[in-house]
Amino acid sequence: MTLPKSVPGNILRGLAWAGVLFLIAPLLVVIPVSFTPERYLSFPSEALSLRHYETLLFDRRWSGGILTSLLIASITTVLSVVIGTLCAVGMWRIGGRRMQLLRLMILAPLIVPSIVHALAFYKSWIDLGWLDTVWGVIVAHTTICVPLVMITVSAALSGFDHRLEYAARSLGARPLTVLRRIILPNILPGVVSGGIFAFITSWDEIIVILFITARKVRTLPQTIWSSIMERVDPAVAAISTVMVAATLAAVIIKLTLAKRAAPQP
Amino acid sequence: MYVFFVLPAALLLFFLYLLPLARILMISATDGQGFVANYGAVLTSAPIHRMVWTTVEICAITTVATLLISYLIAYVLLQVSERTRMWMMLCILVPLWVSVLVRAFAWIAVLNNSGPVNSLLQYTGLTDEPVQLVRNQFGVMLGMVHYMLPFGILPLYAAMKGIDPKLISAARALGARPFTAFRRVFLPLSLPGLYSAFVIVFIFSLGFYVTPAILGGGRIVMIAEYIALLISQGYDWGIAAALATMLLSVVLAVVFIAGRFADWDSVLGGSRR
Amino acid sequence: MTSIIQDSLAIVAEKVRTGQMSRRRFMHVLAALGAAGALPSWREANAQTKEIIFSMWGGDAEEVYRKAWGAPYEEKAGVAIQFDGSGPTRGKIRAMVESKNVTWDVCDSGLGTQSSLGPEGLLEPIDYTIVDKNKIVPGLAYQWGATGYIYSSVLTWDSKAFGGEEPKTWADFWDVKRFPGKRVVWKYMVGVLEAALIADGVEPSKVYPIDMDRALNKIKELKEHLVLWDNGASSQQVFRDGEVTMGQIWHTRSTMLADESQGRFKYTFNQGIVQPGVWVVPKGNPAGKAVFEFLASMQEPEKQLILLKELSQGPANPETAKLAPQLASKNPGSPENLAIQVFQNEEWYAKNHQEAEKRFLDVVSS
Repeated sequence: MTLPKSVPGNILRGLAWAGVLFLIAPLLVVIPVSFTPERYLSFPSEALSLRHYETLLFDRRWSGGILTSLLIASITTVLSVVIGTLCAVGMWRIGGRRMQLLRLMILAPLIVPSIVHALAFYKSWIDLGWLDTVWGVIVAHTTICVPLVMITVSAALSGFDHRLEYAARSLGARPLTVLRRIILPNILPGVVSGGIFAFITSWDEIIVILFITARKVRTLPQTIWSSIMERVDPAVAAISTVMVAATLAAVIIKLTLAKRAAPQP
Repeated sequence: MYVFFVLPAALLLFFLYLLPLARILMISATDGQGFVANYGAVLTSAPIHRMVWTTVEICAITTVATLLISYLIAYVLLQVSERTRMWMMLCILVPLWVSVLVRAFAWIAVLNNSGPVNSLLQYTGLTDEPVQLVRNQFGVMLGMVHYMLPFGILPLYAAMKGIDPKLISAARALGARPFTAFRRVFLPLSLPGLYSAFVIVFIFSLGFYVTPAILGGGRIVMIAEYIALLISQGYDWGIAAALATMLLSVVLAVVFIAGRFADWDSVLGGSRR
Repeated sequence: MTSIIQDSLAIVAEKVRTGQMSRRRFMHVLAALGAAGALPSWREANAQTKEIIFSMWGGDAEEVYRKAWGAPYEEKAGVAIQFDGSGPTRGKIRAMVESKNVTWDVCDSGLGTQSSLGPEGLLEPIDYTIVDKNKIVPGLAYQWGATGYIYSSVLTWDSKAFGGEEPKTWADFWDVKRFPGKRVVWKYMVGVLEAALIADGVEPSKVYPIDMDRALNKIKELKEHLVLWDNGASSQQVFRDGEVTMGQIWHTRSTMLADESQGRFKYTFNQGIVQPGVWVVPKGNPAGKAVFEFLASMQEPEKQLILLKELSQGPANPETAKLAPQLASKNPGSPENLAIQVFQNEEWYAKNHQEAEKRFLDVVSS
């Protein structure tokens, strides 16, 4: 079934394009704003200025935030990829109904509203003395990111042939060896995309951060948040431009690779 | 042996996620004057009723608008040429991956009093004064629909892709007009995708914090921000926890009831990768 | 929510950044703030105490606090002053005390905190045998909080907006015909209820106890014209952006607006709502009584004078104003200015703050 090249068909196409442009247009508006020479949100009228990009590099609030976020997101990614992949493989091998309950528990952070687990982390982190520590943030983010890795790795495993693993086991290989030599190479794409999910989730996370950190640990989203609340800083437009550009590049690469790998019918 | 593979995740999630969560449920029953007082306050307080009503209203409108637009876009996405689809996908995937803060900020840049929309309105003479477009309900809903759209489009598109086009051709061959073929064959087959899109969009909107907090400017307070305010202003853990518990219950109920009809395989398998 | 003190220090820091104040002058301010008034019992009391944790609102202020109060006291009393910039919201103080895991000794706070948390037993009473009551304006030495400075929520406006007419009262603030445009008020209510009642015809001296229904009804009238500010920086920015023509904001920010705009933005102390900046001590604080020696070290008039000069922050010590009578017009706590303002009522806030804040939130957000 294809859309007829008729008036209704054209209207539908037009509306869909309008919707798609509605999605992308606001993100493009931040680009000119980031080059304004003024100290407030505005479009540059005459000269362009890079001052807000300088702020990102040289203002401790921004550069420190970027570094802290990189650190937290990297460690979170490593931890959740290791824990999540092991878990997905284990559950795949053990199987059965017993694992269903466990699966539900591990996927919970995807369903529970962020504000609810933010409250939960806050209350418990007070008692553990983890408030406003890098470690506290990493632990909280890891619990949120493990299910993401689980999902992508489980999806990759569902396309993996059990017999390969049986064969290796029957030849005497131990589980860890099987994991390393047989399973991992085959599910690598799932592990990698799980890692990317985890990194981006931790990098962008703000709600839990607002509750469990204060000033000692200042991540990039926190700096963006307070700048928006103070309504002063076009540096937010600069960091937004950087993030939009990076995303754009990543998505283009991804789409091109996907097109090359599997030409759709 | 494989039990040890599962153990780290199980222990981490149990002790550092489920237990803290359970404590919040406990607090809602024990803090302050106890269970009856906390839930009683939630059920009887007029301000909380109004806040819940605001939340439900915004959430409902957002969900309906998002699903309608998503269905349309997903449907068209299925029909267009490979090249066009790439471009459309680009415009859908980039916002999906950009930080929610950046997206809320972008709307402030677009809609504020001296932003491009207001400049255009004044330039064309439609208004003399800047129109208030953000820090009100309109701004919040616009921002939320914008945030939710990719989460609506992608599951719907994934589900629609799985529908066998031959079924539609068959219906047409048997004499059904295009709209009838759509309504009687395509629409019912796309319902599981619609359910999964509904669940995702609805539960996200219900507990949404960042976009309402930024685009509402303190004037539009939804449940998540209300809970945060209760805690930071130090009133009452009991009531905050009771609200959080109720929010969680509604979300779980929606997931389990509506989720039964949803098509999770195509969502988890194909869309977000 | 930011506190006035954090805000003041942010102002100084910004002045240095933008070149309105030299670094030397800046250091001078800090040095003056930090030099402590010595007390005889000092070293004895601190013999066992190794450190004091000062909870404040972070940002640039943290560095400043350290140089101003921390370093000099460390030198003089041999006690390390550690700063925690995570912001002592009422919620955090409560959570800490209730979980018996108190890490803060003194919190940079307001009357609302002392009045709501104090009676619940979450704060230590101030030891006025160490902190000098005579160095605090009479009436502002509270049971659970010592006033360190005074600020006011004042009527501020854009003089370009009304064709020469000037609002002078809260009644003018509510008059959207004569004075068109949006108004900005504080998201956390303090000062707004009082202004509403005065606008509704209540004598400023008879504002307390606040008739909450009447005040909230009056606020409803203005609701469509209200914008809310969250922290000091945003209250200034909405004026600069032209988003509002009038507002009720902290006078420290009003003076800044007036200075930077060469008088385009104006403010008046008339009918302003004066509030004390209060230091409170959470129950069971780790350093115990020794913290009061530290509080006493911040009461010297010479130091408060510099705060008044540079930040227009009202000194809590009545001796201070005598040192510089020429600054009286900028001081919210001067007798002339106090006479035309309303002083935040401790008794009423103790009983009603939390309830009032919830109902205010309900009105402005529904």
